[in-house]
Amino acid sequence: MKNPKGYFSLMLHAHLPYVRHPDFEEFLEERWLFEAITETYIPLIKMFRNLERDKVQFHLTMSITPPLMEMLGSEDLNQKYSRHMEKLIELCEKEVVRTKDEDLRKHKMAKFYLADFKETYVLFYHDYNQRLLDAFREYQDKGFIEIVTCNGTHGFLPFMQQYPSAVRAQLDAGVKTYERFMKCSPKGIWLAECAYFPGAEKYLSEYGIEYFFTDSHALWFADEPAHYGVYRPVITNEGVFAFARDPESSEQVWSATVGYPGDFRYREFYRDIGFDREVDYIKPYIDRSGVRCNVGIKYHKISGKGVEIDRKDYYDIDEAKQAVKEHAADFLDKKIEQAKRLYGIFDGEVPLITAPFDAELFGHWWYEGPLFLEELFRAMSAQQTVKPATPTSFLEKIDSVQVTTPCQSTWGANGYNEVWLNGSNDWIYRHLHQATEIMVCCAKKYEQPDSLKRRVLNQMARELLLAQSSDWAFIMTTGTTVEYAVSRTKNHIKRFFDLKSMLEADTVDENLLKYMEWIDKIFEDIDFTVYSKD
Amino acid sequence: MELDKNLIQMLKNEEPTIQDLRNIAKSLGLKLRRSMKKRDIVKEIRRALSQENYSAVTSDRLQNNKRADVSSGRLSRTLTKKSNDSTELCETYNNDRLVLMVVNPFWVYTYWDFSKELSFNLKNSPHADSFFMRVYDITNIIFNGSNANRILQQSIRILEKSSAYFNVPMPDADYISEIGYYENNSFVAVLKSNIVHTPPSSPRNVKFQKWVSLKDKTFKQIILDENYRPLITVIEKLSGPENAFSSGSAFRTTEIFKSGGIK
Repeated sequence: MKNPKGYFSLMLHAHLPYVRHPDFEEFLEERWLFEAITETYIPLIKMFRNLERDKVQFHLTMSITPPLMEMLGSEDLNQKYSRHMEKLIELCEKEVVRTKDEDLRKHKMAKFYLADFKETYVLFYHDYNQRLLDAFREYQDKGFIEIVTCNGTHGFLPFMQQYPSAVRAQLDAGVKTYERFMKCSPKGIWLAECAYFPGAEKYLSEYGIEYFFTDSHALWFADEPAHYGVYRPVITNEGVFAFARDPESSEQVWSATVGYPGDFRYREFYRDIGFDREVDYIKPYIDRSGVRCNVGIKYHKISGKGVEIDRKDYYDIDEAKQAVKEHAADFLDKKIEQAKRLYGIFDGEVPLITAPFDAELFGHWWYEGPLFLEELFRAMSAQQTVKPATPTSFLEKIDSVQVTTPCQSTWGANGYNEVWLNGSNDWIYRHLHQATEIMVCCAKKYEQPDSLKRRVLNQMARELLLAQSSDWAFIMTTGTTVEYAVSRTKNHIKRFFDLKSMLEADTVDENLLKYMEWIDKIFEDIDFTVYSKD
Repeated sequence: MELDKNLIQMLKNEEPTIQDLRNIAKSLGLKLRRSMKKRDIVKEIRRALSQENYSAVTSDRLQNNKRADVSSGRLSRTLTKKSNDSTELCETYNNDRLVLMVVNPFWVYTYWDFSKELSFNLKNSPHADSFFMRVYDITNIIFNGSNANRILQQSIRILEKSSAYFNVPMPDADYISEIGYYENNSFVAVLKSNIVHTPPSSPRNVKFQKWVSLKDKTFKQIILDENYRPLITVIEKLSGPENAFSSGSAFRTTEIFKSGGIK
């Protein structure tokens, strides 16, 4: 067997903010998780199973962030998801009957969805007993995938760098949550928003993290620019490796002009029967308030460039699968060409192409995304030039590595901090910083709290961490569901200060504390004392 | 019906979009038909609010939420949802504080807050109309207050505002800021910020490289030829009006978010 000319390291960043409202039977934003489970996480697991069954060697890295782990491990959310799927299957059964008299292509898809949803439900409920994380752990244990952690609540670390203990608290939660669900320690980390600041590696090394990911310019503009660009890892002075994003791979997949998901044969995201069916019929399956939302049954394809939303043609899964095959083959050709080109320039050193993506883009946004990945790995296993790798497996193959410090960077628009700091969201930081300082102060003051006060302090830490999720600032920037993000930020800050008042007044309202522990029940093993160390 | 008045006033003032109205209706738990026009939705909202028992539940919360929500032309969904009861956060923590944050290689953000005492003194100061924000470039030096590489200054109404963005001249540089005033031609600082480092926006020229062997952990330093270039010449993004607000993965994620689905 020939030695490969390059390795391809796919990194899927699976993340959702912690959205769990146990005080409501249904909550619109909890559907984010349900959609992601049905459209991304379970399709990925199905892909793992198919590839394993067919003895296809595949390797990829996934970050499953702590809030997502907590949600996937939450009993009440899993019960809600089961109910959600039962209703979806019920709706789909109605659709199968109804579409008989509509269009044959719709009817075909209704039957397809029904079978698919049933399979999803069986996988979720019976195969994994409502514990999807077990599936991911299984494929990590089998050596196919490598799961990395993320900092605590996906907080934006560069804006915490003046508070070392706040950075540590984020990492502490990230590592502990990973260990609790994955039963081993994480080797790597995805820094939320790929946001790195020089010096972060010191904290990573304290927590035993061996590698992290950065955006491309982190290495281009590094203290000593990377000799191999983004196509080999570098090592920082603290001994932690950094793997940088290949800009070509993301461009090839996502570009508005040449990217794959815009192919006319693929499913149209914006046409959903949650909006298309009459209200009396669809009412039981959309939000309780009567507000329409996507239900996940879609009968239309993109159809063409600029085709208006109400003039879309019907979707056909078999036609889409043909497109998937073509795109997977095309992408692999591009990777082979790229690997050969780099291998030539590198004078015999093997390049590594690191391609990180939001996991939810595969399946949720680009419906056929998981099928594309499956086809890609099948095609990759049938040739020898480019082979799949994970950061750990690649490090085992190389002899030496350049030492440098990447530059401050993120994967946000324009590469720096402006997505998380602009006129729409800058107001949050004075509150987050104030709360952080108070948290540090209280952690130092209450060294030996009684058990009730310890609970208050731990809950303060949870509220602070939840308020720090970069998702809220991100949503404020993008302008959708802003009210929810604003309200979440304010509520966590408010609860933080309410707890602090209780602590200082020495009158803990245990019922209120219990209430907060119930609705913001993340990180059961949190230890506030992490904030007491400078 | 104070609540009703507030709402109608808001609807008049803010010209909410149909989506705003749908959000309001949603937060009130109203069911709307997709075909409903703007005025139909307003009618529905009014009808709902005129029901005594409902407004009794919501009026307190609305009062709390009024300022923020009216200013954004929206009612919060939290009106009807207990676990999301939203309260306005305080405007000041009564701390003397000036904080500098990095936006990108060319911009910094700063916010400030004053203790009651300082706030009182500033308001009653003869300099109340002439405060300045200074940003010092202190790259590669230990700043002693008078040895900055560069001093940039702008007059600023520190009592009326509490934050600002500033354009800074150099990427990859250290900055610190101060708020102050002039007395007898000399600058008197009232508050001093933390130091920030702006990220670089271009590759650095270096004279050597360090490598480490992963087998025996030995270090090697290579002196670089003056014509040295990394093996890959990067094609960087050329910015201009065509792409001023687009790039990278977050842009695409933004696009996805606009769909109203998950991130």
